[in-house]
Formats: sequence, C-alpha cells, structure tokens
Amino acid sequence: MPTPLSFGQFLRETRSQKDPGTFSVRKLAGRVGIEPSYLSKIERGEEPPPGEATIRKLAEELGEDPDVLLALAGKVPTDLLEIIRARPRLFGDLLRELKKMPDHAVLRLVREVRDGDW
Amino acid sequence: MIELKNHELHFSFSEPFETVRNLASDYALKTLPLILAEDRDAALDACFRANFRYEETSQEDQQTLREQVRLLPPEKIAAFFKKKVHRTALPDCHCCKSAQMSVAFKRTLRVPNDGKDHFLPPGFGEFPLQHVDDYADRAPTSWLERGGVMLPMYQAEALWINFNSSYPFAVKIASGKINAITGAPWQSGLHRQPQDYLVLPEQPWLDGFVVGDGVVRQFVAMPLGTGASVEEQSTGKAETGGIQIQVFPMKAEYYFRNQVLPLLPRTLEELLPEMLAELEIGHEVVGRCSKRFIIAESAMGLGAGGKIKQQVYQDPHELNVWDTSLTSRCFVHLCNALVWREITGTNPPHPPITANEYQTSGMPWFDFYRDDLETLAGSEALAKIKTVGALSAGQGTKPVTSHTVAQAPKILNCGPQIRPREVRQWAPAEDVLKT
Repeated sequence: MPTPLSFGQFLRETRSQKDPGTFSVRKLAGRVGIEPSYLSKIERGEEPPPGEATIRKLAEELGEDPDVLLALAGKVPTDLLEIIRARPRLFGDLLRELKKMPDHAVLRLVREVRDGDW
Repeated sequence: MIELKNHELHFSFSEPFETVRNLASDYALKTLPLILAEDRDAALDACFRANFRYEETSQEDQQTLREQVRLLPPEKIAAFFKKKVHRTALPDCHCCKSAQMSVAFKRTLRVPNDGKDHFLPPGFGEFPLQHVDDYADRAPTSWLERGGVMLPMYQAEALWINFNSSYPFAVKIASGKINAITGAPWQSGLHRQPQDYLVLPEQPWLDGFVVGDGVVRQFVAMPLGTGASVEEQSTGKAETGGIQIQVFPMKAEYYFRNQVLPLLPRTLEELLPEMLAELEIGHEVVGRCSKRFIIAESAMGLGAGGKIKQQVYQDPHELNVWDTSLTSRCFVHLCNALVWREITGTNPPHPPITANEYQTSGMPWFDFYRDDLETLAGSEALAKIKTVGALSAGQGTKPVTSHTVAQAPKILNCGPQIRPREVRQWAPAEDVLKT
C-alpha cells in the first residue's frame, strides 16, 4: 500500500493541479485569511496543519472534501465528534466493524435519496 | 445517485467520468509523442512571441530560458502534459470520481408584489433538508410513497434554487408537476419548442416561474387547497405540491469533443506557458516581460424587467447531446414550517425579514446578466397565473402582506464567472432578523 500523503503534501499537490494564476500560494492564502509564508510552511511540513475553520476554508477553495483534509490533518470534524459523543458505544462499535470492510462494501452504506412513485 | 450532504442534494453520475477519463487518456497517448518530438527552441520562440513582448527580452534572458527548456527531461514534460489533459477534461471531478452537480434551496425575502421590477433578492442560507424516510411514523403517507426529501416553509415564504456544477447538465424543475419553465404538465425526457429545462453550468440560479424574457415570478409557498398554487390554477386540482427535479448529464463523448478538446494543448508551444509557470522555469525572465493578454471586463446589464429580473438561458447545444438514458430525479416536499416541528422535533428557521427591513438596513440586491447567451421567451401560460397577493385580495381573505420598498436599492452585479457560495449570500445581524 502506498504511503499516504501528509497534509502539507496533499495541499501542495492539489493546489499545483489548479490554475497557477488563481491558486498561487499568495492568492490562496489571501482568500482563506492566512499569511502566504504560513501556508508555504504548512505545505512544506514546517508548520503543523491549521485549525478546523481554516482547513474548511482551504477545502472549499480547492474543491476538496473537508473531511478528507481534516483527516489528513489528524483532526476529527466537530460535527462528527458530536455524533460520536451522543452515542459513543454505538458509533465506536460501528467504526471498528467498518474498519475491516473493503471500500466497495463501505460504499454500499452511502445513503441515497430514495425516489418513489410520483 | 442522489445524496443529501449539508442540506444540499448532490446528483452524481460515474459513467460520464469514466468515459471522459478514457478519452482524455487516449488523447494524451496519441499527442504526447508528437509533442516530445518537437523542436524545443522553435516552440519556445513561438510561445514567447504569442504570449509575451519577446522583443523586449534581452538576448541573455532568451538564451537562459532556451537552455532551461532544452534540459527539461521528457518524463517531466510527459507528466505535466498528462496532468494538464486530465485536469482540463475533469476539472472538479477528481475527488468524487463522478460528474456531479448540487442543488440547494435558499431562504430569501419575498419581493414586493407592487408591479415594479426587482433585482435578485439575497440568500439567507439553505433551507434544512431531511429524508422523508427518517420520519416514516409522522410524515404523510403520500410523502412516503413519493420518497425524496422535505424542507420547512412558512406560508407566503419565498425561496430560490441554487445550482452548482462544472460538468454540463440539463435540469428540469417543476412544482406540483407543472414545469416552471413552460407551465406544461410534467413529461418525462427533455423537450424543445418550447425548451422545458435549464442548462448548467450556464444557469446559476432559478428564482421563480419563467413568465417572460428575463422575467420570473418568485417561488412563494402557499398551502395546497387555497387555490393559490400554480398547480391548482393550471389543473384545478391540489394533488401533488412540492418541487420536482430531474437531472440529465451531457453525453460524455460530446462533452469531450466539443468542450474539452478545444481547450487541450496540441503542441509544445501551447503547453509551454503554463508549464513554465508551474515548474517555475525561467520565472525571472517571464516576470520581466509584460503580458499581451487583456482580460475583458464582464459586461453587465441594469434595466427594467418585471417582478424579478432573471434571465433563463436557451440551450446552446443540440437536444441529442443530453444523455436521457442516465437520469436522476427527486421529489422535494415543502412542509409547512408550523408542522415541521411536529414531524422532525426540530425548529424551522426563523421567518425571514421583509424586503423593506432588508433594504432600509442598507443591504444590497443582486443583478446577474449575460449578453453572450440567448434567453428563453417565457411561458404565456405561466404569465397568466394570478399572483399570491392578487388572489388573497380577490377572495376577501386576509391579504398576504406585500411590503413596499421605500428607498432606492443598492445593487451588486455578479459576473458570469461565479465562484460557488460567494454570491447572493447574506447573513443579517440578529437584530435585523427579529420581526
């Protein structure tokens, strides 16, 4: 299994696949409200990942799933934390069970909006 | 497949993604050997003459850049070229591995029914959406039969529909199974003359029933049985209610041939400007040259319309480019906000502020105009529909309050290059929200 990318590597890789005019370090940092030098250090792994709010802004700007970015940053999204806290045993058991399942089996659990008769 | 994520409906189709990815790979395989065989000096000269003021560049700078381009390993050019082809072909589809679009229902204020023309009202965030199946013990049986999702609305509350997509889709919207574009009863498939669907990504929003060229009548919720809904006025029956959405992706082969292929680099000359910038090659030299490109300002229009001024665009493609064999549809139930709490046990959002309260707070209205696309003429049938305010006045019932707007509005123009979630969002202060 290939080594998963770090948060900084993933960020740099994703940003570099976008239009360089719109997604330069300076422009992206400006849009999410952080210093360009700070973003650059995060990408190089010289600074730890930023807080959840900034990660969410980065995800929105880059068109990435915020859950993926938060996971790479080693953080659990606040809404997921609340779900687990509400029923810790149930969701603890569920996640441990899912851990062993292959992707295609987990994907079957994704919930579709049901279409009926109209 | 349709999923509910953060109060948005996400429609996704994996088939177009797979086909476009394969077509992009084939293109890369065929074109790459030709690009690698090109004379790099000639390509660099041609690229610089087309894009920069080459004549202003010193001989020394030109020589430095030539050396750097000559030394570029073929593997590096190949990797950049393949990445460029795939990100052009499938700009926002990588993380989800499918062609996706999303639909959100935005809370908004009701524009005054005063015969005047109004600009686009703001969005106050999304209506909460819930699966009807989650409330099987309390939701009406007919809702469970139709499936889908539900959202809470107060009587006479307004909404607009927000679309978000980078892949092309045709979208049909109806209320009470009356098409919001043509006023005709619901039909399966897509039709022209008149066109009965919207085209994405050209159409960013829909605020109401299309009653004229550049004019819509705002979507306003009314209880079924009062005779005020478009469904009841069109059919004489109050059977369906809600909002119906059906989505069709563009055929992948057509999308690739007509919308992707013209954007793909065919020669090293076309590949070089972006590659030099991304690989940070010769950026000191490039930085010293002034660019020839002039970015045209987006032309915007302000003018008289009626009701809400909103263009609905003609399909610029042939009808057969839409893949009617791949489709998803969803029924969105509109739940009276007072009943919402009983069904879900959660509070509906606070009623929105009035147009006058909004405007006197100095907050803006919005305008969006494109002169590069043809618009639909609007439906004569829908134009004959009586407004909610007129009907309640005619019936001698308590009139639906129609606030006048006292002062001149502040207008924000939104360009055609819309960034998702950046426009028409307004978060009023808490004291403004209080009625």
